[in-house]
Order: sequence, then C-alpha cells, then structure tokens
Amino acid sequence: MNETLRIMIRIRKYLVILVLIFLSASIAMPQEKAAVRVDLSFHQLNNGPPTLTALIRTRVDRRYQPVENVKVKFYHSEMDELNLLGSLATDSDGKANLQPGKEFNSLWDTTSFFTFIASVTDDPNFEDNDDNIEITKAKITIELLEGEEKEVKVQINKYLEDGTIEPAQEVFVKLQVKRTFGTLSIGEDTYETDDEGVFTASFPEDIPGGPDGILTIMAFVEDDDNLGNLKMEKEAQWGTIVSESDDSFGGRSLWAARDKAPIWLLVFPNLIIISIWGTMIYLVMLIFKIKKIGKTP
Amino acid sequence: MEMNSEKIARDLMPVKFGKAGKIWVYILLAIAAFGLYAYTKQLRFGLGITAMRDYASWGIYISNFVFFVAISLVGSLITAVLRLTNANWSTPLTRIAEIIAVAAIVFASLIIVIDMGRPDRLLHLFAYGRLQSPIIWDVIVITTYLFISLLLLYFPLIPDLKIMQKYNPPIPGFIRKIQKWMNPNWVGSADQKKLVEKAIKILSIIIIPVALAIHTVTSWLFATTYRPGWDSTNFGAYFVSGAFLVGAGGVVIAMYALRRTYKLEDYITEKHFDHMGKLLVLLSLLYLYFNINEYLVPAFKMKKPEVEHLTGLFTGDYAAIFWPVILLGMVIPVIVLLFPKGRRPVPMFIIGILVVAGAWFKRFLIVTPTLLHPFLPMYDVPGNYLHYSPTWEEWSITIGSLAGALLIVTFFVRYFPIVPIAETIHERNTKNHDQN
Repeated sequence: MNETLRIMIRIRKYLVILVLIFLSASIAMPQEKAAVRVDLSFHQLNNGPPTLTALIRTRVDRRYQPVENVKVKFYHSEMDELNLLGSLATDSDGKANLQPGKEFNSLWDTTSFFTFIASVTDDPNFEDNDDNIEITKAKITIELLEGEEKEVKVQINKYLEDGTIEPAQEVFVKLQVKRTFGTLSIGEDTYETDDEGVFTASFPEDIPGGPDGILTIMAFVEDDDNLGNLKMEKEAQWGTIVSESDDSFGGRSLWAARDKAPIWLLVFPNLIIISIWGTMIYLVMLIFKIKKIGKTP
Repeated sequence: MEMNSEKIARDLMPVKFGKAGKIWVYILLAIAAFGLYAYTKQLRFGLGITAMRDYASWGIYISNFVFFVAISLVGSLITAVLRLTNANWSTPLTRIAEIIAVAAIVFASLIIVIDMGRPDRLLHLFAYGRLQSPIIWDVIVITTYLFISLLLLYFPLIPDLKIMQKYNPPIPGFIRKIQKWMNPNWVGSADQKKLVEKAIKILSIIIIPVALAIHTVTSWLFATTYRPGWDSTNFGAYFVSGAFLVGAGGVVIAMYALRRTYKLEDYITEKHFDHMGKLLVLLSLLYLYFNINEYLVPAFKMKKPEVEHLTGLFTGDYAAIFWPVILLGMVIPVIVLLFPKGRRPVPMFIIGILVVAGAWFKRFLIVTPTLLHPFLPMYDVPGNYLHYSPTWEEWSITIGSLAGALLIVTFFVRYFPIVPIAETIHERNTKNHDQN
C-alpha cells in the first residue's frame, strides 16, 4: 500500500514538472513573425489604365512560396496615407493586382514619372516590408505594313516632364501571336528599338489563323527598368485560314454523343436485344398459357 | 436402386435449418450487416473512404464484380450446355447452378452500384447511357442474363411447386403464399409438360450466347483499352473459360455442403463428383492454356509498357498472389483431379475452395495492377496513388456482398427443393422403365 502511494506521488511530481515545462514553453515563446518578400511590377495593356501587381512570398523549405490573404497597400510618390492608391489582399498565387481608382486618372494624365510603392504593414503573421518602382510613362503603337511582304512596325515613345514625347531607345520588345493556350514568338527572341524608338520585323505568312484567318499580334515589353511591362495587341487577317478540320465530331462515331451512335451500332445490338427480349416475352406468355391450361377442367 | 416417387419427394423437400444451419445464417447475416454498415459510411463520406485514387480507380469492388459475373456463368454451363449435350447426370445439379447464377448476378449488379461515387444517379445509366460504350453493353447484357437465369430457375421449378403443396414442408405462411402465387395452376397435364419442356429448351439455347456475351462484354471493359495486361484480342475467351472454371468450382463446393447437410447422398452421388472432377480438369486446363497465352506471349516480347506490369506479377509486388493463383487455382486441381481418388467428395470440396478463392484473387490481378502503371504518369503524384491496399470499409463491403450472395443461396435452399424433384422422379422412372 505504502509502496503504491509512493509511486503515485512520484508520478504526480513528474506530471507537474511536465505541465510546468509545457506551459512555460508556450508562454515564454512569443510567436515570431516570418519575413516576406514584396515584388512590385507595373503593367499596361493597349496604353490603357495601369495595373500594379504585388507578389508576396515567404521562404518555406529554402524556397520562396506565395502567400495568400496578406493585405498589401499601394502608394504613389511616398508612403503617406494621402498617396494611398488602394489596398488589397493577395490571392492564392500570392498576388494582389490593383487598378488605381478614378481619382488617380488626373495625376496619370498630367504626370510623366511615377514612383509606386507596395507595402505590407502590421500583418499579424509577417514582418513589415515594401518595394518600390520608378516608371516613366510610355506609349506603344503597332503598325501593320503590307508591301511585298508583311511587316510589323512597333514604335515606343516615352513621355517627358513637360508632357511631350520622345522615342524610347534601346528597349527590348517581344513580338508574339496569341494562341489558344499561350503565345507564339515571332522572329527573334527580342527586338531592340532604334534611335527613332522603332523596330520593324517581317511577319511570316504561314501562321494558322482559325476559320477566318484572324491573328492577334502582340508587342510586349517585359520588365523594362524604366517602362515596366507594356503590351499592345492588334488583330489582323494575316493568318492562313484553317477550316474546322475535324468535322467528324458532328457526325456519327464511336466517340460522339449518344444520339450520334454509328448506325451499325444501333442496328446490330438492337436486333440482338429485340430478338432475345422478344423470346423472353414469349416465354413469359407461355407461363400464362400454362396457367390457362391448368384452369380448364 | 429402387426408389419410389413418394420417397424421392420426401427426401428432397426443404427442411428447417439445423443448429449448424442457424449458426451459418447468423454468421452470414452479421457479415452482411457489417458490410451494409460500411456502405452507409461510404454513402455518407463518399468513395474517399476507399483506397481507390486516380491511378487505381478500380479496386476490389470491380474485381468482385468480375468474380460474380464469372461465377454466374455456371448456370449456363450446367443447365444449358450439359442439358443440350444430353449429359443427363447433371440433372440434380441444375438448380444449384441456377441459384448460384442468380445470386451472383444480383450481387454483380449491386456491386456496380456500390462502386459508383453517385449511386443516386444510377438511373442516368439507362437514361443517358451511350450505346458506344462497352459499359452500357454490360448493363444491357447483365439485365438480360439476370432475367433469363430467373426464367431458367423458374420453369423447372413449376412442377416442384405443385409437389411441395402436396407434402406441406415446414415453410412460413407468407413464403407459402408466394409459392402458391408462383404456381401457374400446374396439374401436370401433357400440354403443360410440353410447354415447360419447350420453354426450358428455348432458354437452354438462348442462355448460351447471352452467357458468352455477358462475360465477353465484361472482358471488353478491359480489352477495349490500350493498356498493359488488358490490350488483348484473347480476352473474351480467356474470361469465359475462367468463368466456367470458377462456376464449376462453386457448384462443387455447394454440392458437397448440401449433400452433407441434407443427407443427399442418394441424389448427389460420388458419380456426380467424379463427373464434375473430370469437367474441372478440362476447364482448368483450358483456363491454364489462356493464362499461358496471356502472360507468356507478352513476356516473350516484353514491350516497354508491359515490363513493369509483368515483372510486378512475376517477381514484384503481386508475385505472392500471382503464383499461388496459378499453382493452387489451376495446376494443383489438374494434378489432383486426374486421379480417381482425387475426385472423391472431400478432395473435390477442397479443390473447389482452391479454385474459387484462386479465381477471386485472379480477378484482382486482372483489374488492379494494370491501373497502377499508367502511360501518362502524373507529375508530382502523391505517394499513396502508386499503391493500392483496400481499406477495411472496402473489405467489409466486399466480403459482405459475398455473404449476401451466399444468403440468397441459403434461403433458397431453405424454402425450395434444391434438387429438382419432378425431374429426378421422371429420370429414375425412365431409367427403371428402360431397365425393365
């Protein structure tokens, strides 16, 4: 009895120590915030209103992984509440895409140089961090030339402080055609604009363009230090006409919908089904015949 | 052996369950109830509770389905093929074969519903099924086969229903009412007999192509895809031969159990075991022949996509099932049953169990390993997709379905004469008449 009591007291002692260790560990260790990386980029499509994209990532297992649902604040010029363009939470790709509201339009129209800032502040899980980019407003145009051969002329102009424009020289541009699930590069990997802010590239004749031959031709400035990401699209009937090649899809086939089963597949199985089930119906009728015979005295 | 009609009828009347019978029924009911419980869990939580994933999307449910379809073919073998070839010795076994067929086909249909993620959409199969799909062919042919099997069970039963009314066996009132309703005023007149004989003859003929179709179509569920282990032109014959083997094995087990339990030694004699033993040798050899074809020829070529599949069976993860299935399920039966002593009831019973168990695992080897080696493996596939080991819910449901099928057979034996009375009387009288 004494022995048991002693063991129980000892067990209790250890239990108390364990509980204390556990409690102290959980109280004494404040939750550490993880560091985040903020990457801000500038995008403009068809010289339209700009979009700011902030990519928020954190290091997990030695790799940067996007983080969802982190609130990002966007500013222009400097981080001041007066300059706040808007705030957004990141999506599942860790991205927050902001199109500044109407109140930004007048500033956009009258100014040529911008500083944009994206910032993560006071997040419960992550440390504060920000990123800024400087952008020179620019304009991109595509001209389609049809002479002996088809050519694409792309011109890029950037705005000066007084609102006038000058050619943007030595800008690298990609020439692409839109495809169903992505883009197809045309010609060289990148073209460089000359002193006039222009490059001209010949355009191949044999790009498939669907049933009406229409292609969406795109000039794309990717991640330029001054201009950001600019994209210009233009449609042209420059593709070869590709008729709907697989018209069997509408016809009867083994892979068509149920009402388009091949005729032979309708005829033979149904013949078999009808003959077998017909026989069975006949057999069921025999049962009634047997019954009838039994009733007659 | 002189035996009058009176004695035959009394010997073959259904009787109450004995103590062993009751225990047997309770065990089966418990297993089936547990399977049902597991299925309610599956209904609540979906197929996620099974081990089936994107790779092995067919597991033991479909293996079990193929097994049931296979064993159901015995109805056509014993009742139709042997009847049409005038192998009259099979008469006492016809009803055993037919009820096994009906029970198996009922559970084959049920197991398909169990394998469905959305069983509430079962009717869509009929409403929206595409005739281009072998799955729909299977739906049609299984329904047809079930119906033919029921008719083939029913017609020979008609005279016996009348005899039962006369001898008044211990049967609950409501079943007696059903049996009375089932009896189409049988008086045993020449006209009635002629019609029943005609019906049985027609059924014996049409059930053969339908039986071949049911298992050939089931084999086409696999063979119409281009995958290692399935991509074969032999698959229909391979499946049908295997089906006859497992069905005959099932009949042997049932023969032995029924003969012992109900003391049917005068009706299911050693001669029957001997004949069934010879039949099993033939069927084992036939199935072995197709197995050699299915494995040796691809193994000789060792096409790249087949390598993983075949080595998995011969020396890999599945070798521990593959070799016992081939040896115990096909080779040993041939060797044992070649000897007259091997065809006596007890060794036959053991061989029957080996054949049926081997057949079940054989279906698993046909269905699942192929699925684990897709032509286009997934990028970053979760580790548990690469292997398939069924969950306890899957095992419970599967074993529950086997118990369910056995329950159908058991209750049929309880309420109906399992050896056809009228036919036995007729045959013995004819024999006596011939002898005189």
